[in-house]
Amino acid sequence: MNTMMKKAGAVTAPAHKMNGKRIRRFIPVYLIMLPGLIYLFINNYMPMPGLIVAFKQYNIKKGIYGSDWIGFKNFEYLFKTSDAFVITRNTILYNVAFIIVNTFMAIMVAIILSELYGKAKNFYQSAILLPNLISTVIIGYLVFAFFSVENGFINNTILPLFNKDSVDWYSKSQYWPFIIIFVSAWKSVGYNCIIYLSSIMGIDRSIYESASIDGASKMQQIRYLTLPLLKPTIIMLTLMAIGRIFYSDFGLFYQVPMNQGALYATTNTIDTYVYRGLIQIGNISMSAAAGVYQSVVGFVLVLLANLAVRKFDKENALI
Amino acid sequence: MRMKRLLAIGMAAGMMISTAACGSSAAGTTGTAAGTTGATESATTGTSATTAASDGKITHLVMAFPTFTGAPADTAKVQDAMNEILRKKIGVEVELQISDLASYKQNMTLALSSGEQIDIMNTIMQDYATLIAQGSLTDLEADNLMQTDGPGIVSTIGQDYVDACRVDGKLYALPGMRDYAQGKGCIAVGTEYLDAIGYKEPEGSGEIVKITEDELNDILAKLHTQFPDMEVMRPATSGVSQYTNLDFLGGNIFGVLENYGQDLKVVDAFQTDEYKNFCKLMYSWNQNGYISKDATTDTTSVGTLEAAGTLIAYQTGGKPGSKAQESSGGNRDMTIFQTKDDYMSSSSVASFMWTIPSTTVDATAAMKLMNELYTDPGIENLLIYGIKDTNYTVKDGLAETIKDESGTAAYSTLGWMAPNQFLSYVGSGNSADLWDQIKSFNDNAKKSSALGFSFDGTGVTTELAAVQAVYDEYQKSLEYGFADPDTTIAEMDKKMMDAGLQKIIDAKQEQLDAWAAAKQSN
Repeated sequence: MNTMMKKAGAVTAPAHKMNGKRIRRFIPVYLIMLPGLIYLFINNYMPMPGLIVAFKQYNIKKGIYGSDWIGFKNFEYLFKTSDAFVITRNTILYNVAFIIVNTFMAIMVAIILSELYGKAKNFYQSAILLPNLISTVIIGYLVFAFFSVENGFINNTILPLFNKDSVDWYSKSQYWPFIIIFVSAWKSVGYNCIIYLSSIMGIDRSIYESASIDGASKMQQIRYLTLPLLKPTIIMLTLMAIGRIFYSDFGLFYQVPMNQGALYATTNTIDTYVYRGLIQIGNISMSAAAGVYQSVVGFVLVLLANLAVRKFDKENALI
Repeated sequence: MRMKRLLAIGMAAGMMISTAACGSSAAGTTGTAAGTTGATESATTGTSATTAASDGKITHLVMAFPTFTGAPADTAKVQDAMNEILRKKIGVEVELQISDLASYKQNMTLALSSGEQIDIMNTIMQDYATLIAQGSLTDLEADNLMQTDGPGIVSTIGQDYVDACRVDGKLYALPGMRDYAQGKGCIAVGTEYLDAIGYKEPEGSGEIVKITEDELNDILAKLHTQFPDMEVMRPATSGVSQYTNLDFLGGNIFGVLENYGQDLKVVDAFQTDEYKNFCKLMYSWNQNGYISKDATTDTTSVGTLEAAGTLIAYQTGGKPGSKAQESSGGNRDMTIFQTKDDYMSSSSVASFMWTIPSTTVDATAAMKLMNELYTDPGIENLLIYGIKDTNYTVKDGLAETIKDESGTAAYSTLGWMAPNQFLSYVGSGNSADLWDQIKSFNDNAKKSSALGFSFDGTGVTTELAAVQAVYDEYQKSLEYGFADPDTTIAEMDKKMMDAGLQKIIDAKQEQLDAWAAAKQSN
């Protein structure tokens, strides 16, 4: 027994015994991690001091560090307009809807997939993952094929079936929350369900066997076994999603509504607003200000959400 | 066991190297653009890309400008041909750094901000006032630079047009020789459709047929009856600029001059009758069914639609040579109608100009090269058309670009952007005296009183971003005729005023008054 454990490697040894022998065993692992860490440091940490460009009047000749300070002036355009409320509301509400709908769909699909075996499972897993790999520009045109006013599938085939008139889809903003939430779910369920699927696969099968011996139905097994065991994963992913609550998938909100002004009331988010405004003006400091605003708020929200989780369920809090 | 270890270490090393390579390309869109520039640059420079003069005599200069699709295949060859002439004449060799239009702005921003050598640059896609404010451009008259090394330039262009590019009295850029005026209120219609309704051009019409707006409405109505399943008219976002007599002061619609810019009073465009009438016209066309319901979402160019035979007519800017240009783009003979006058707006001359950036290695050499570009026909033909008999042939004094089976030319750049296209051959399909026609077109057009004024918008960036957002929301619905102008224009105007439109108008008026006063005193 002891020799077998020794051969299996030092993973079973207690963690505080980090002597030289153990470090040497892990060197290949560290080496593999190294390029990723270097890239992460260079790409994500080194540019951080550049955040100050959001507080400066950026001048190409003077560079970031030489430009003049103007305090919070670059942030004004985000709050001054009447659009400010609309874009913030849209961003937050859509993200809340996405968190709820996408999590629900991903878990459902993961549970269903976990019941499949063999070739069927591989096929469905790949098929469900496919939408996530399609560029949002193409998705925008797929949606256009359905919703085009003159030649779309819905106006020409589906609505006549119910004897209804054509709808001007790209001018009426009230339908778009539903369309966008649907497209987002369709796109991301494949990717999101992978994590839940791997968690479910990690659950010991014997628990289910003993539950069915005790007379639990499938639904009861899901409700009392699978979901509680998935709780850490759900909490972790939801917390991370909350951290990104002020960000939106730019492609989804810009390409799918085909950049139509008439739909701005329900499809304009912080990212699209900043892009549209600044692509004409090209002011780097103002765009940076928007980014700082989004990340700072997201950071604060993650900490708050984590605090909330810690109060209820200490084990599952991220920090 | 040993093999497995070696294999593991080898794979780990392989992964390290590949992730290191991945790191650079995954650095976001700017990184990808820089990567593309790198590829474009290495494609264009067949010869070495050394910057400093090696033997002290020949100065190596970089000339940057865009074409629609990027650097053509034969760029290196054309470059060599140009350098053969330039080395002997002025001791300069040039490297053509050609980007595609879409990435040109980013490439130039990156190059200028990192201090990369660019000696001659076109200002297209960039804001002239911003470039000056950031100190990116050289004053062309500093130390008599232009007078000494560019003597032929002012006499070629004309003092008036040169002065139109001044900012605060200083000259930072030169306009290319081209049509500065534009025929306003022009519509291009496929000729075969006009024949089908029995329309005949009046005698002696010339290239562009001048008609009244009522006659045009009449023609469109007939076309719609004759071809009920075709799209009669496709609007464009440039509609207001091309179809009204408003002068877009400072290059945007937020604060304009009315009535062909005849007096210097800046007004809110959306309260003018001109704008209202334009929107009402589009609304009536839309209600009559001339415009496709998908007009706002479809981004296909009108040339493609015309060539495909799904579109009959579209708005365009008129000038000598537009008939040939639109006919070639639409792959069928087009008739151009004009309902308003020829007009040279305040910002038309100071657009896509040629500059010497401050990152130049030798301003004197760059100015000498600029002089050649404005005065030497051989260089100009090489720049625009390429090498004779390899890239183009000359028939009856007109140049025809050689294209392969797929329609791609080995070398071709945009003539209208070149410093002096009047020195080059006229393109085939036009009349041989095209350049003279354009010169008289420019001279006879109505000129804006604010010609040469440029607006510095750095004090109102917040307001500009905000009103731009409002305009984006309403522009297509209003200007493509999908929204009722009677109610919607007022709605949009109120939102714009709340967003700070008046502040922009006041800023423009202030700068315009100061400019006019300075001009008076000169």
